[in-house]
Amino acid sequence: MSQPIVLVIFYSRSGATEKLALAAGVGAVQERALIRLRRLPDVNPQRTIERFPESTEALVRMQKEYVAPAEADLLAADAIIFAMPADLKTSEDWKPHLDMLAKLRTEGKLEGKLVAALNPGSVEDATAQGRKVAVMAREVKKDP
Amino acid sequence: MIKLRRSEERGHSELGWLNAYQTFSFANYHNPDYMGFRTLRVLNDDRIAPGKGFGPHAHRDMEIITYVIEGHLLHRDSTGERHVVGPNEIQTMSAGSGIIHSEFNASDSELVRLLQIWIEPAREDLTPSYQQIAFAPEEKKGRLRLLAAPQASGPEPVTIINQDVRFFAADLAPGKRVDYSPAAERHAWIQVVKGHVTLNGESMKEGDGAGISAERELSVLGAGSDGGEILLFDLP
Repeated sequence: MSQPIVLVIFYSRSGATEKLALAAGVGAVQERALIRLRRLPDVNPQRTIERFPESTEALVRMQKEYVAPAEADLLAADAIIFAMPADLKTSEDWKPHLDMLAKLRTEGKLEGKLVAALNPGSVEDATAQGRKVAVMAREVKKDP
Repeated sequence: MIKLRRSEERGHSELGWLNAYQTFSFANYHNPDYMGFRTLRVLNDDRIAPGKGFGPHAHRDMEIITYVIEGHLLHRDSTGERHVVGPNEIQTMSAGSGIIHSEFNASDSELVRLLQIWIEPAREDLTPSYQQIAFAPEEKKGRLRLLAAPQASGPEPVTIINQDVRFFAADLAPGKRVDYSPAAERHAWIQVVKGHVTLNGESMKEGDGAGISAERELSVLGAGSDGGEILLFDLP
């Protein structure tokens, strides 16, 4: 049986939600899943930094370190974990990616994949949630 | 028995931001004759462009040693560690039950060249950990400087790895020699980091490696106009 692939999609400005996304990823790895970490983009990175100057260091770093989710990531995943800030307002920057999700769902290509939203909480909570998702993904992948 | 692995026979990826040579199978490079050597699983020679690097990715159950040859590498990981590693330093990360890390060129103007080494641990599910030590360049000139071992011994600091492997570096001027006697039943891997050496009389150049079994005497001599730098792994 091949290892389940868990895709963690997150958005973070200050790095707080990134920390929870990483913890969920570590939880999935602890349950021997393969993981991909993807950050929803700032289409105009400099504008985001100007709007949230208190998060400049974290934004510069995350804009460099992460790529946005691609269709191939979604198709490869057995499970998708979304990690979003508690004060989330959907950004116009994400429209292409949300449209891509909607298109894949309409085409039936997300069928059978597990999807979870990370509850706000501690790093320990996020790690535990990542573990649970990976365990479920492994169970779903088993040959009957 | 000494089996040479010539530098030009390695896997090669040229991605623009990364110019990498793989001694053993890795990512898209698959060579069934070179899946590793004993517990030495990966030995990659990476050149990373300024400002670029490997974004956050996960490891499990692997001892990962990074040996920087030139430039500086910025490491960040999910345990909160954030460190810059440069020449004459060694970073040893035990992935254990699971860790996520990123590795970026710390400079926006200089290349970083490093060897990334993966060694299979003796046990699974270890607690993830990070170690980094520095040493003076003189400590590896004309001698084998121990950099990683399963326990500390002697006055020079080493990084501890969770496997019965001893890992050394030596910088050999032309004509300077180091000898090493693997114990019975032990194996060894020698990798040429820079320059030229001879191993028991056989010429080796930058990027060449040698898998060694059932040899009780090894003699490495700095050769050419500049000598050479080697890494030596004493393996179970």
